[in-house]
Amino acid sequence: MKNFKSQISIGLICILLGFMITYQFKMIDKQNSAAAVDSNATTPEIIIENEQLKTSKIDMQKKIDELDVKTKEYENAAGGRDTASELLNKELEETRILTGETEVQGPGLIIYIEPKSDVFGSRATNNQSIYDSDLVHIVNELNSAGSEAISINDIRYTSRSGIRNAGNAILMNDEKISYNSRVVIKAIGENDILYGAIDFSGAIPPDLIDSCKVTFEKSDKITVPKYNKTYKFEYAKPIVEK
Amino acid sequence: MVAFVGLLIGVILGVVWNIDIPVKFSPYISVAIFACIDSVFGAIRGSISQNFRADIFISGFFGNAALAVAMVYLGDKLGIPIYLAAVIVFGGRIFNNFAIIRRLLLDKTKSH
Repeated sequence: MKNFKSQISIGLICILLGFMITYQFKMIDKQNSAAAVDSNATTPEIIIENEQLKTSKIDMQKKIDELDVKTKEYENAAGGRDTASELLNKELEETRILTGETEVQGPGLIIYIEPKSDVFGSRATNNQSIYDSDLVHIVNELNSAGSEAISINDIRYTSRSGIRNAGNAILMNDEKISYNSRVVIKAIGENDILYGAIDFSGAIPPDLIDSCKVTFEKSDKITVPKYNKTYKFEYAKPIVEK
Repeated sequence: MVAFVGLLIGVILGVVWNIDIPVKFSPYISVAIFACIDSVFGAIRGSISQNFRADIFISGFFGNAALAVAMVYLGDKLGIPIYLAAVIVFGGRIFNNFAIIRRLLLDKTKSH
């Protein structure tokens, strides 16, 4: 009788154990499949959206270029009429260069900043080799040496460009500059003066020289792309003399 | 024999019966299962060495499971993974019991 009772109890417990194991199996399986569905469902949407935005950006850029050509034609047509309008047209062109609205070409200096591998970089602690302040310093140096147009990684530097760290990149004109890959700064201006200014000790921040290999060379033909956004003056208004 | 039949019934029950236990209890059940397997191995060892006692088995089965679950809960509240202690101890005991079962079975086959 005692033996029978113990057999029954063992049987019952084994039922419980079997149930628990199967249930747990089912649950873990369900969780895994749910997680798989989740990661599959959300990421591609973002990727697809990103792709769509990229293509639409290219399309819009094309349209902008077309419109630019048209404006140019109108301007030339208007400028051809007399000397006054020709002068105006010339002034407009210069202002455009100043604000970075046209692509410009000329002699100048190219600076290459190549991050060293982590082992040798002194700033390896947070994996950031190039800081916003380094770029600002170099751009400032170039400006003071009389450069007429500057671009960083083919992003035009304008009088209203800000260069600052933002998340995992450096932002300039709302475009990203990676701080762990090669950065190319191009400046159009008097070759020798620019070279001399950058060659001067201290012109390139010592920390940057520690963490990156910085080289620069003179060039006779540099192309600096245009800045694609339009300026808006919401607050600054010219004073009208009475 | 009874044990296998019981296990089979349990597995079938688990597959067929769609009872809803909240997902947050999942880690508790895992540790409880481990404790139960330990008890079962202890029972097998006891029955082979002929000193199996049902009351010890049943109390161990539920007691170990309850203690393991309590440990998981406490560890959760304290922020220490105490369940590791349960897993290690039960794991060690399972291997220990299995070693003894093996020896007993080998001795039995030799004596025949």
